[in-house]
Amino acid sequence: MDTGGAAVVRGGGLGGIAPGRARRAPIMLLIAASVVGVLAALPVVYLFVRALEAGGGELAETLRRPGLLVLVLRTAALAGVVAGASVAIAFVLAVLTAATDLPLRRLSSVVSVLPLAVPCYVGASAVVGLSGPGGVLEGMGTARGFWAAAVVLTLFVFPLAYLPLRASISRVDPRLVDAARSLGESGLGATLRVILAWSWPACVGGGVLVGLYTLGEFGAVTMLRCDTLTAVIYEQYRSSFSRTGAAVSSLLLVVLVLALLGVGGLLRRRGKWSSARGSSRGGVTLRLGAWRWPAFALVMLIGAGPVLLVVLTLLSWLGYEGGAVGVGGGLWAGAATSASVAIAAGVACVLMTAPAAVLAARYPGRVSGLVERAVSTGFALPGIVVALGLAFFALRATPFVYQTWAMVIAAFVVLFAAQSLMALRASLERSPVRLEEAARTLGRGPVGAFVGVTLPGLAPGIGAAWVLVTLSAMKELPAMLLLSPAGSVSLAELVWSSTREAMFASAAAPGLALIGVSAGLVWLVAMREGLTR
Amino acid sequence: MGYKRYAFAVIAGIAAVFALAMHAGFGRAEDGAREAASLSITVYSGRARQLVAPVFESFERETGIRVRVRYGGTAELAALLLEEGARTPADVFFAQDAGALAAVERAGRFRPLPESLRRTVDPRFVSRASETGGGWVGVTGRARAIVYNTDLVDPAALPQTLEEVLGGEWAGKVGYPPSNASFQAMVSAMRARDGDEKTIEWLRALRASGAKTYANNTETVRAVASGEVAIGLVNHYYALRMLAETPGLSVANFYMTGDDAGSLVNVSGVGLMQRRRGTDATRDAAAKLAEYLLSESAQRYFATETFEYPLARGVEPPTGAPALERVGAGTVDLNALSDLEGTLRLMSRAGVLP
Amino acid sequence: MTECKAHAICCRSLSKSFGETPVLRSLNLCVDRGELVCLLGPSGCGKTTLLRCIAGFEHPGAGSIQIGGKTVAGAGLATPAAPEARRVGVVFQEAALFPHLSVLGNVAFGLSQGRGLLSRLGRGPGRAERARAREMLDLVGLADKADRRPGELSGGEQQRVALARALAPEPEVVLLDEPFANLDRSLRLTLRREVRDALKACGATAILVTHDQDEAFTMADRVGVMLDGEIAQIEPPERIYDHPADTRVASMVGRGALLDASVEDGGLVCCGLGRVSADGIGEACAGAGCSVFVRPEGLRLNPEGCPRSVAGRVVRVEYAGDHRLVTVDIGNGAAIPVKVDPNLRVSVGTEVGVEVVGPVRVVRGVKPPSPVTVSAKRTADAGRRDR
Repeated sequence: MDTGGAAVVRGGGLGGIAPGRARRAPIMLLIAASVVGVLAALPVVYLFVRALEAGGGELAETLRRPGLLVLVLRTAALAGVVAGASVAIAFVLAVLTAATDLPLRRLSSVVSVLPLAVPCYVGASAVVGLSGPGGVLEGMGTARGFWAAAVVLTLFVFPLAYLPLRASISRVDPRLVDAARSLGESGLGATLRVILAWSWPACVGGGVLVGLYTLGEFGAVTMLRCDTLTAVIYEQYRSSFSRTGAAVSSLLLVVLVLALLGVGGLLRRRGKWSSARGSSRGGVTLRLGAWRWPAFALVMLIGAGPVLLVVLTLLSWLGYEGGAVGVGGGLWAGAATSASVAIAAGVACVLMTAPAAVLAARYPGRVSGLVERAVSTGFALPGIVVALGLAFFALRATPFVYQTWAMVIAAFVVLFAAQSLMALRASLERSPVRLEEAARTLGRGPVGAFVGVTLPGLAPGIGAAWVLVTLSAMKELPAMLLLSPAGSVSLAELVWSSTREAMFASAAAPGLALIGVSAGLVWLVAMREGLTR
Repeated sequence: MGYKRYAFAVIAGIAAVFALAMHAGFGRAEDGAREAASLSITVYSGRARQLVAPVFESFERETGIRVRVRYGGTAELAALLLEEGARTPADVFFAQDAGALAAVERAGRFRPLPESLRRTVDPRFVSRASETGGGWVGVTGRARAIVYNTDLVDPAALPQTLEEVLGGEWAGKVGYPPSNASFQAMVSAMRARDGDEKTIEWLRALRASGAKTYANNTETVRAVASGEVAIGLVNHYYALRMLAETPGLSVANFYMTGDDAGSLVNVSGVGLMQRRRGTDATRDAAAKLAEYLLSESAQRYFATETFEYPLARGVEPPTGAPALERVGAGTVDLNALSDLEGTLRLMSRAGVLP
Repeated sequence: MTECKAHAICCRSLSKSFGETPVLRSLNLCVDRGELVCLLGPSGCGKTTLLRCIAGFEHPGAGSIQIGGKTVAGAGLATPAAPEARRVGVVFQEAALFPHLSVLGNVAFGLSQGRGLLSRLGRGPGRAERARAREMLDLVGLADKADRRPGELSGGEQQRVALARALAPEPEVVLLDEPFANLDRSLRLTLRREVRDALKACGATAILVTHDQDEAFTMADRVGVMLDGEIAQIEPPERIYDHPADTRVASMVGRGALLDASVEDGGLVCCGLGRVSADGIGEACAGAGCSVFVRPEGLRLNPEGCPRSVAGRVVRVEYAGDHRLVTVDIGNGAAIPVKVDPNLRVSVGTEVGVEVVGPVRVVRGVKPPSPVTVSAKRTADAGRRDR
């Protein structure tokens, strides 16, 4: 995952791109890679259809809405702040866990990914509960507004940046750090002047991914009263049943997505890494000396602290009267449904993004750029937009799949393909083209070379991609609510409907189950990413 | 590492097979034709599972009709229903607020209601169109109320009208949830009664008075309970619910009696969907479910569990709440509440919404 | 310890183990100011570890290191000095240039230590730093490539940049860890000369580690032969070649024949080549049994049956352009390399005589087990594995 988010930032990857390979992509690969791009572009097409339904006057009215500029700026600022803070935290944790003699590195690495197990809306509702009457944090002022949302989102999504950063930093050539230190640079200086520069593409990629996530986040921002474009989109769906205003706002969001990708591209270019090859030997090990245990405590505080707080809050709710009211047997059904749908979505996502990843890593060009943009947009679009967009097309073109799990899985592919693409592409870029070329010279055809050499190169990424998508799908709410067959139960829905009615007690059990299952998946991420090395 | 790799592959493989098997079982779950044994209908419920699932379950027990429920936000479900049009798999829409019902009604998505059903409920809480074409009927009532902190406020001094809420003695002491549907419904009602100009003035004055905003009704009631603000503009059942959970909280409801939007009673209601693939049997079953929701047992359940007003005639109001006749001033037309978009635009012009 | 003030670098009784395996065994090494010492040894002998200990990347288990008269490790120092506090320049086998900086930026990297961290992070090199970096690039002949990216340079150029980078901050000592190992042979030859010239032009003290004997001999002021974690002999190249301190050094450096011998009266020894006069009997031989060593150029090939010759059979002929190396089996499993005129045609299987014409030296230690003719080949093989 070194180039982290390379998937979402255009402009080539780190290694892997041999000079002078203006080879044409095989047509089958182009077609296969475009499938996921087209699927991800469907909601945007839908948005155009709905937005164009409005007359010019209505459009102008929507765009002239007072406060719209402030809203857009606030949304962009939130994405920027959360992305920046996440990258900063992720960088510190990644350096500590991948490039120092931190004690219990294995544990520390897993803990650094743990916050991914907590859905943001659960984290937010725990914070709301804690700061409300009778909560532990009562009297510290209610946790609301821009900064509350920024802090909560950062604490629970920074692992999206941590994963690519850690992979990148663990491959820093130790000689570079040795060279810097022999040139008089201190450990801290070498970390910033060499490791930061080295992992810059991963920083940008991770930041873009976090930013995209923040743009599309709904649950936590509404709960914490930070109005963003996505929150307003939901509100518009609620209010303007014509769906036009919401579509126009959603298109504004798409513009923000493209702007974010553009900024990412610019920042990436600043890095100017020519053709940095990763190190094949063990990575850097900086000595922390007396700071070993304080640093360990810091990792635990950042990684496990918020998760523990949420789990304890949920446990305390469980103790309230009627903790299990209204959930009962639904919990197990919900857990089974959530898990199996999420697992299938992970498989589907990996299968569909694999060709796109090969295209992006081996034949970067216009098509791969478009696919990446479409997929990134899908990641940032609110779930309700994706759900309605897919419903729109499915009802007209393929009514037989409507109201089946296939719809939910398609929505999850649109929503989460960006993560899968990122992981797969990064692992491809780590496996050198030379091997493929060697295989070709040894008498294998392109397909043979692909199966024999490229596919194994894809293998480490497949696990990571699958788990990331599965994890996100477990936590996803709006698309699950709107597209799942009527009568089904999911964990996310159980949590949501309880917190919506402020019936915190009944949210506790499904919330804990969700975190538990997700934590198991996080452990798998950790295994796949070699974090436990 | 080798064995771990295989273990991972095996886990993933088993999981995928499990998942696919489940889908094969679940797939096309809505397809009524396959379920020859029992009739089943699909409900889109904007009301939370925790509140209404027991009602659906007892309906299933009593009639043998299977109810498949899609739970979601009322607004999201309304948007989905509009997107689906006649292709909708839904037979019944059970919504949390009159605005969404009116929007679906305006799109012509509801079937006409049986005459008997409409007669069960006070005409104030039935859509006008239901007499002629498709419409909806109210199931429970949700009255506007002022929740106040009993330690800080003398009930006798409480404002009697929305205009009085703007009085200087309440400056900085009022809490309200501007993004909440019930508050917005109240603003819609105000527009319908008094016109946009007066409404925007009132909103601006409220904002200027230093009133504090909260995310939703529960938050507002909590703020009142903690003394952060003295009074809050909310729906009646939140305080009742919270008092039932934590007796001894220093909050109480006060119902304004003035002839203005402050005495609005909003509803949760039900409508029967036009559905291309519906059969006579599903249509009957859907009507039966609507009737069941207005039956005495279901109505009593709502009164005791959700503290909302039962709308079927002759059922007692929830404990701690005055009779419905004494609460609603009855001058607000619920059908006027569907122009939520206009209300939101107005609210953002007034600066209480972004 | 006072004597070390005179040295640029001084290691005393240095020991280091990785786990159970000792890598450095009580090693001593002192290098004069301005001197270029090449450490020659097979891979695994601990030479890279020694460099890393001096640079501060590894910490020795015992012993002390002084750089420029200042103790940086051991000798009562609680914690070894950090690499950045040692004023040591390092040139790695793979140039390890910073790929995100230009060539000039790389060379100027170590020149900004006077500035604060934020300033180092935020701003590029200042005017004076740029001037110094250009000066160093001039020295290595790359002034015209200052604005290139490291990736655009050839391997040799990269190493020259790495040297310029290491020299720029005027370190007490420059450590070069097999800097030419990744380059092709012709490039290596010119680069050796250029690097030596550059080091000498700066008056820099340097330690270069290599497994290539030619490299060590052509570049070094003194060659240190390193074996099994200690320095077996450290002397100018001629002395190493002509007077190997013991059988291990003899068999590692250059080619030649090592034979068992017994000491006789009158400065004579008796060995497989007959009764011959030998140097250094007194110093090296304790008892009657010892080893003697003869270089191929100290032997002459005679027709079979010639007087003063030992009879043998040719088992291998290697052509080397300016000479031919003929290996002769003289019985008892002893195969003797003899250097002959390139025009002399000998074929394998020919019965010949071998005559001693040059010096025979008695060396310390016992003869290593066969093959008797240990040559540079062994170390070359080892080196290849290293890559």
